[in-house]
Amino acid sequence: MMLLLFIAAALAYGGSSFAYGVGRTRERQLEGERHADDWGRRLLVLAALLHFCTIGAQCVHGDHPLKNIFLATSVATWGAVLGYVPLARHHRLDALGPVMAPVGLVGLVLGVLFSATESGPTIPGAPALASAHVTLASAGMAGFTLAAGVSGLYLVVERRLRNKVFVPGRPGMSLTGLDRLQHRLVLLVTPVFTLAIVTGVLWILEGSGVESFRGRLFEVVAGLIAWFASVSILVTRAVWGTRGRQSAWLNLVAFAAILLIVVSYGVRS
Amino acid sequence: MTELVALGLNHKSAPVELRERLAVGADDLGRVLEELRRHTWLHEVMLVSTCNRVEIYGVAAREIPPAAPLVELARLQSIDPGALEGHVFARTQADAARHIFRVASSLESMVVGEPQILGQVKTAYSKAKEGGAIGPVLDRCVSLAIKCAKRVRSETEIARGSASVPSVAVDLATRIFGELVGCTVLIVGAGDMAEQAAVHLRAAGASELVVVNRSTDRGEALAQKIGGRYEAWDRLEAQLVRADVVVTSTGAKMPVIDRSMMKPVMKMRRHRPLFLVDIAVPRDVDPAVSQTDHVYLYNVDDLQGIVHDNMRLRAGEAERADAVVDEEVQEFLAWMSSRSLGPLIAKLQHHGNAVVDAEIKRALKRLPGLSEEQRAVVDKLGRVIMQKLLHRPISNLRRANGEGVGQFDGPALAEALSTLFELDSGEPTPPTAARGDVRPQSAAIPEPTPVPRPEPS
Repeated sequence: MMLLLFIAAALAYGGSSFAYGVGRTRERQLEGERHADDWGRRLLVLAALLHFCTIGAQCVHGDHPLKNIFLATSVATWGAVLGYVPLARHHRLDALGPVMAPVGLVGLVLGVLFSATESGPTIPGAPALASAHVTLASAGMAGFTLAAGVSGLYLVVERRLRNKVFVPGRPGMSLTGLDRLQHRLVLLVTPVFTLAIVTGVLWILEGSGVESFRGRLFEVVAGLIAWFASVSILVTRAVWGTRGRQSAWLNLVAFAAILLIVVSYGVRS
Repeated sequence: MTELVALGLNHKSAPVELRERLAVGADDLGRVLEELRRHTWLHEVMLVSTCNRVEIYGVAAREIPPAAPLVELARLQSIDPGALEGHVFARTQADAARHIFRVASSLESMVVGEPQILGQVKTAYSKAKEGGAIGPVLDRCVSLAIKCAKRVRSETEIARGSASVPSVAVDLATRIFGELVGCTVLIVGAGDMAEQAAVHLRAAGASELVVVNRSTDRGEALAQKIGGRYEAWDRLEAQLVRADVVVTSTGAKMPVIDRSMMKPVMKMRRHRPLFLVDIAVPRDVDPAVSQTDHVYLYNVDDLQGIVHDNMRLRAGEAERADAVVDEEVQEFLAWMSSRSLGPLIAKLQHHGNAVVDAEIKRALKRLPGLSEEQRAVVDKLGRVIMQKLLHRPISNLRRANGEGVGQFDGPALAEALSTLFELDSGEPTPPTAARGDVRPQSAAIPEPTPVPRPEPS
C-alpha cells in the first residue's frame, strides 16, 4: 500500500514539475502557459495529498518522522509544498512552482528510501523534548524552504528590473509584494525555529550534558548562523528599514545553513 | 441580392483635419443613421465614429454606388463631398466583412491591439440597434466580429505589453509596487509627457500627485489640471522622501537629481523602493543614481525600447490574429450564403407544388368515382413523391454552400438548379458571397444619387 502511495505521489510531483516546466518554456503562448501552470498546481496539490498519505502509511509501519532525519525532511518538504499552494494562489508565485515540485519529490524519496535508517547515536533524554524539537525543526525547515524560494524569486525579478530585461508582453511579479512576503515568512518561521533550537538544547542538556555539544559542533554552528541570519532580517528591517536584496541574501544564508544541518545529519546516519 | 458594404475614411486614408470634420458626435448618431437609411439604399446601417475612423457599415438590397452613403454623410456634416476625394475606401461582401472583423479585432487600429476599438464598435452597434437600424445581416456580422475580437485577444498576444511611453511607465511601476493604490507620484517639471504619465498613473490608482516646478504658475496650473498639489522647487528633496514614483521632465541643462542627493533621501525613506522615470532630454537624473540600492531609474530611451519590443511582439502576432479573423469571416460568409438560398429553395418548392397540383387535378378528373378519403390519398401521394424527390437536391444545395459537393460549390449548384428547373423568372438568384473591392481608395467620389425609400404605411 505504502509503495503504491509512494509511486503515485512521486508521479504527481514529477507531473507537476513537468507541467510547470512546460509553462516556463512556452514564452509566446500565454494561454498554454496558464494552462500548464494550472495543471502544475493541481498536480502539486494531489502530490501533497499523496505525500501526506505516504507519511501516514509510514507512521503505521513505525517509521515516524521523529525516527530519523530523512523522515523529518520528508515532513518538512511536505510542509513547504503545503504552504506554497495557498501562497501561489494569492501572490502569483507560479514561477516558484518548478522549484517546489522537485523539492517535494526529493523530500518524499529521501523519506521513503531511507526510512529504515537509524538516526545514529541517540541522545538519552525526555522523549517529549525530542518530539518537540523535531516537530519544530521540521516546521522551521518548511518555512525556510518557502522563504528561500521567495527570496530567490525576488533576486531574479530585482535583477531583471535593474538590468531592464523583460519578456515583451509578459506581466511581472510585484517586487514589493515579494519582499513583503519573504519578510512575513521569516516573521513566522523565526519564532518556530528559535523554539526548535531551545528545545534541542534542552534535550541535549537533559540527556548527555554539555559534552555532547562537542560532537555536534557543526550542526550547532550552522543552526546559530541560520538563527542569526533570520533574526538579522527582522531586526535590521525594524531598526533601519533594511529590505530587498539584503534581506533576500540573508534568507538564502539561513536556508543554506539549515540545508547543511540536514546534510550533516544525513551523512552521520 | 443582399449587399454588405463597409466604407469610410480612417487614419490610413485621411488626415485628422478631414476625419474630425466628418466625425459624428454621440448625440447626432441617431439622426444621422436615420438620414442615411432614408436617403441611401442601406436598409441596415451602423456608423463607427472615433478619432481614427469614420466608417459606415451597411446592408443594401441591391448593388449601390459605393460612395453614396459617404456623400450623404458629408452633406449631413456640411462638407463638400469633393473634399473626400482620394481619402475614402469602399468594400463589399467578403472584403467588407473582413474589414469589419479586422476593425473590431484592432488589427486596423493605429496602435495594433489597442483595446478601445472593441468598446467603440460595441457602442456604435448598440446605438444603431436602439435606433432600429440593425437587421439580421449586420446583427450577425457585428456579433461575429465581436466574438472574433474576443478570440483574437484571448488566443493571441496582440494586446500584450504597453504600447506607449506613459503606459510602459505605469506597467513598470506596477512591477515594482504591485497595485498603485496608495502610491504617491511626484512630477518634477511641467512637460507634456510628464503630464501624460501622471494622468496614466492616476488612472492606474495612484492616490496622490505632487508637482514640483521652478515656475510656480506653470506648476500650479499643471497640478490643478491633473488633480494634484503644487510644491515649491526647494521642497524637491523632501518630496523625494515621500514619493514612490517620480517622473521628471524639466528643461534643465544639468541633472536636477544626482547620487549625492539620493543617498540621504534613501536613508530617510528607510530604503523603500523608488521608481524614477526620466523623460527629459537632456536627462534630469544622473545615470549614477541607478547604482543606488532600491532605486530603479528608467530614461526615455529605456521606455521607448520597451514600447518597441512590445510593438514588435504585436506585429508578430498579427499573422496569428489574421488566421482567427479568416475563420470567423468564413463562418459569416457561409451564413450569408445559406441565407441567400432561401428564395431559390422557395421557388423550387413552389414549382414542385404547382406541378403536383396540376397533375393531381388531371388525375382526379379521370377518376370521378373516388370518395373524399380516396381523393385525399391521391393528393397526399403526389405531395410525398414531390417532397422525396426534392429532399436530396435541397440538402445537397445547402451542404454545397458550406463544404461543396463533389466538384461543385454552392453558387454553381444554385445556378445549375435555376437553369435546370427554369427558376430564373426575373427573381433574384443567390449571390456569390465573395466579391472584391468596389474600387481603390483613390477613386473619385461620384455625384450623390439619393434614392428615397418608401415611408412605412
